[in-house]
Amino acid sequence: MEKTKGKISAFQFYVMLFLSRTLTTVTYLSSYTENIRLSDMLVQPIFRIVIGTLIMLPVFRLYRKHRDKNILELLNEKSQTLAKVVSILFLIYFFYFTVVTLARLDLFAGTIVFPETDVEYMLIFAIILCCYGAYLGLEPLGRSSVISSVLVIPALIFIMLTLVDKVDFLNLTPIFYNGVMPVVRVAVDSVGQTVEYGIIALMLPRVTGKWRKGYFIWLFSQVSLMAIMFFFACTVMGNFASTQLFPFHTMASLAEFSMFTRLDAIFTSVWIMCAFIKAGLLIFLQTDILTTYFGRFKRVYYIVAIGILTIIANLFISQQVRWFNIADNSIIKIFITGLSVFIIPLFILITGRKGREKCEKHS
Amino acid sequence: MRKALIVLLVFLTAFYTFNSEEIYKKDIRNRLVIQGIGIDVEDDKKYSVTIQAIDTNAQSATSSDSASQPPLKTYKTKGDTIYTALKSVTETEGKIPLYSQNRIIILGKSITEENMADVIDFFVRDVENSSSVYIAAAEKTAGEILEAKNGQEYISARSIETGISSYEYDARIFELQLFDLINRYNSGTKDFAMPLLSLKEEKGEKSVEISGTALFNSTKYREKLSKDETIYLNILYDKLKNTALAYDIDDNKKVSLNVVDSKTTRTVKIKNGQPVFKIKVKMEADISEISGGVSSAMKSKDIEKIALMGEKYVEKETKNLIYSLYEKYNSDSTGLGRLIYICYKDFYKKNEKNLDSVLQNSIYEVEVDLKIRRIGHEFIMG
Repeated sequence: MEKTKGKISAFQFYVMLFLSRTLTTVTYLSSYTENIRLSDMLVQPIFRIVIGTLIMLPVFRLYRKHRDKNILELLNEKSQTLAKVVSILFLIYFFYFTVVTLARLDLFAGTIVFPETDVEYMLIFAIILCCYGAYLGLEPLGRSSVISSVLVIPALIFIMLTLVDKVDFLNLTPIFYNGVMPVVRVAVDSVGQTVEYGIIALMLPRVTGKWRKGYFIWLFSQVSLMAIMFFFACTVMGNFASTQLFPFHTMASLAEFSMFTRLDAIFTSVWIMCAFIKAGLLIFLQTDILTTYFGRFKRVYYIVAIGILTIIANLFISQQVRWFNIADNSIIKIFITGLSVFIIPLFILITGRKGREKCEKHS
Repeated sequence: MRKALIVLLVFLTAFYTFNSEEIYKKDIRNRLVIQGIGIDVEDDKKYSVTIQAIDTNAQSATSSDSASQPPLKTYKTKGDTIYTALKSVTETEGKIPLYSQNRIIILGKSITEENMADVIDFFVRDVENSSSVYIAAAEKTAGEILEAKNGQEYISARSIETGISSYEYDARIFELQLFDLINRYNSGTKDFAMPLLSLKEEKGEKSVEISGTALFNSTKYREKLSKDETIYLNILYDKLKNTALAYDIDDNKKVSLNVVDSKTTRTVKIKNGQPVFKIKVKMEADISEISGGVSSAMKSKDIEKIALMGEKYVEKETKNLIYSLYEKYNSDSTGLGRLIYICYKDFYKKNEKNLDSVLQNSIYEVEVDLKIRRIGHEFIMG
């Protein structure tokens, strides 16, 4: 129990979130952006910064007043039933993203890495490891993130540097060729894919240090990474990028340095490391919610239960690619992110103010 | 928890590793290690696929040999699609094709002169195909290139690939990789070009030669560019890294330069409703040879003259090629039309359908800046 209640420094927390979001970036699917031209993806991050700032305003306002209680604890003070309902929503939210994250890993492994091999074993293997990560707790996950970031960030920089020679500006496209709105829509989709907003909304009270400054550094760095990766994808591969299931992996397969030609292997290892951190953190959060609000059993039982459910869900999705398309749905993601990150904190803020006003009137 | 986890992981690993089907697939002797794929269309409209692969049986039998080239074998199959044709190799050989080691895809005349679009999808979709594999066109059939033997040995796809990849040392060779072919094909604003291969036979000895560059309009073969013209195509592509240039400086004198670096910048402006392209080429070169005997010492003004004449020569040849590309062959394989798309999207939208005639009527200004870096052993005076 001590482990779950532990605090984490802002640095470790945001490094962990950076790796977690990096996974979403590197596993970007070209189907998300079929309505916009390639170069629009270079300006799309600007919209993401704006949306990412606006969406977090209620959360920041809330935690400025109540630094030591998270959303669920604040709701619990108002109504235990409401707190339980919202905790179920967060459970679904994190479970859904755990499944989608691992389904992407499964799609990648099954399509690109081992196209002729059944990857179910690998998937089960990965889920067990993520459960173990969740069992270790928040601080070990944070420490692993810092160590992993020392490998992940230079690896990504190295891959991109080796591609400098292949940059061709003729592969760029006019910006806003089909107008601004399709680009904004893609930016909203992109925010919807960022489960890290939900993690921040729930975990900020556990973060020590400069959490607000850390947020903006995190937001700017993950958006910059995305812009840089898109720059290379656009200028190196041009329209070929949109024909590829995982364009950034294809981009890495084009990179070569001296006699080393399979730099996509480095990319794959980056992917696996980030997946471990992300899924581990999400399973940890689900366990944490379960033990706090529905806690009758030991933590480890919840981890095993979540692990088994994740395996079942992923094995089901793994059977047919259309299940993946249904599961990896933008509208679901935008809805659940908007509800958990923006609407609920806003609701707590408004009801809190009204409650105070009532109290003042009464007194 | 930790012990249970270790037992579980060991069990899973063992199960995965010793799965018999996996072992079969991983054994190299059960795989057909493809080195080159040639595609033609037969008269009955079926695809004829020629595969050059490493003979893994012979390879294991002679593994102690120090021969640098592995023993090769070719297979010819037919099918309604490329995939079915390739798949039928397994029926004849009992081996599973391994595409990841494929060096080159050669497209026969029957493919390049018809619609190439039909064959592209397989190579994009199949994940084992490397995106950076080279693409080349055959002057006749792709099959004859991959089946050609010099003496007892096949001319390897690997040696053809090495020849194409030497474009960095000789700009008379043009290269195209799969990802760039798809990029150009999908962009809708750029045509493409690829190296052209032909089979030569002299005194009973066969060889595969890169005879020039195949120029395409949309997805159809349009014209062959000579090797010398390919230099200027590489300049327009900004792909020139190293090449030899030879031109007259006097009536009886010819100079040879070794171009060691080149950078081309392409810009466009719309003036009076007409695109004006500016192509600036900056080159650095060493003097390699001057015909007409050995001179005692070179003067600075001689070097200046050589550079000036070189600039004029490159400018003239580049302009000739631009004229050929846009006036004669109607092929925007250099992608200059795309510059209009990037920089003047409204003009592009207005003229999208008649871009060919817009490019024909455009103004092309070529400016060459040639710097002589070294002159060899000769002494400079004044």
